[in-house]
Amino acid sequence: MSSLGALQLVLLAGLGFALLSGAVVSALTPAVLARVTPWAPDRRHRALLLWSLAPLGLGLAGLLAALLPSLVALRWPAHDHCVAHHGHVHLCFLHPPTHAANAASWMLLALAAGWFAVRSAGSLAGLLRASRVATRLLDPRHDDAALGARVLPTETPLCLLVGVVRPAVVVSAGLIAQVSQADLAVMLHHERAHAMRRDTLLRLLAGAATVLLWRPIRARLLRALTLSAEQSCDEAAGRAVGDRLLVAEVILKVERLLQMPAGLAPAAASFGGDVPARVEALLEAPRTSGTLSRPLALAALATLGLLAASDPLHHVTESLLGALTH
Amino acid sequence: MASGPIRPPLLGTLEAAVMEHLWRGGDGEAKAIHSALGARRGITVNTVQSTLKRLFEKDLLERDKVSHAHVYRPRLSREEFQHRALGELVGALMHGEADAMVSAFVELTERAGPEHLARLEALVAERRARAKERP
Repeated sequence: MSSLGALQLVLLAGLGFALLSGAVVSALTPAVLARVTPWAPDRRHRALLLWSLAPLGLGLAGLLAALLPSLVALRWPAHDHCVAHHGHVHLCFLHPPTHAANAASWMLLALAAGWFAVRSAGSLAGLLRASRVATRLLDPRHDDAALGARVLPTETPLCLLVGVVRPAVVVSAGLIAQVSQADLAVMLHHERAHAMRRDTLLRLLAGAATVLLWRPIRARLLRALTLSAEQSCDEAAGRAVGDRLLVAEVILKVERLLQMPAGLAPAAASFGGDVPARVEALLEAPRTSGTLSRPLALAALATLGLLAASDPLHHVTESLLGALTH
Repeated sequence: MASGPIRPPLLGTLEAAVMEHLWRGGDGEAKAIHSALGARRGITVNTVQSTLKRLFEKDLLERDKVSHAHVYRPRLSREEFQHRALGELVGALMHGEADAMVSAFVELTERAGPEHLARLEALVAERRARAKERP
């Protein structure tokens, strides 16, 4: 029973730190978004990507810090401190709890596991649906070696990057017929920049790492991440063709083409997604990118602070676990 | 030919082979299809029958009962099928069903309002005109 009891305590502590880090990151995200908005898109994208991993990093660092005294005692038994603290639950591998695992706590863990399974199943179903569509878009019969893209025989004006591991550019015959060679070059440069940066894969990772954030905050964060990736690729296309204004013109041209076909437009939206923000950014002077040395130094400092506070964190965790399991 | 919804348009390997066999004018009875396709695939007549039933349920085939057996024929020509399948593929894209694995040059699921678009086009045109005026 003792090893089961220790496992229960570690799982409960892990759940607590996961929820706490989700709440902390959710609360701080609006301020982070406001802070990085004026940054160059490439730097902003790196910062937001790191921030989207923060719930995972903070939760793991908190759990590690809380377990540190027990891990140290496991390696160097002379540092075992449990003997000095009687009368409460020990988050310790040397002195695991001897009482039977608490049924209500197991129920809590089962509920958390169930919630996670339902969320994962939903995401997996979405991924499978997307994968089926992607497979059909990447039909090798549509490969156009000269263009370096797959050409989809449809009138709808489409230019896409499809796939996660080995993404490929797909353009529609309808789009090729309605734009100039220079316009097409802008779009191909933009999509190839996404492929080089592995943006689709990074977006999936960010989506998975932010699953415990408050939903509206998570949506804002992922939307800002997507916008920064789009703007980074707009800048890359602008550099490749030597004309940022042309990129803005092509974005508007494709937006206009997408508005034309009757019946193709999805649920009407009047805010225009990313188009206004992308075009307005291209009309401004390019912003100079910079490093993330300060945010990274802050993150390292916060981790060190957590580890330095491992003793009090360990005891607070034990007290809370004691209250929960009795 | 009759028209109707085709769902799901993505066919499995055996389903595609059966459709191709029928589009080429092959016999539409399960035993004949098994003789043409099944022997080299190592599958039974029952598997072919299940595949035909599935395609019938997807509204891709029609059937008549001749003696004790069903004889199947395509509801759509190959071209009609491909056209519709492509239409459904584009529809899925426009409704964001592939967003996890697809990124579009311009977002497909949200459109800029006409005023937004006109304002931005005017701004860009003005900037282009100014750029042309400069030596």
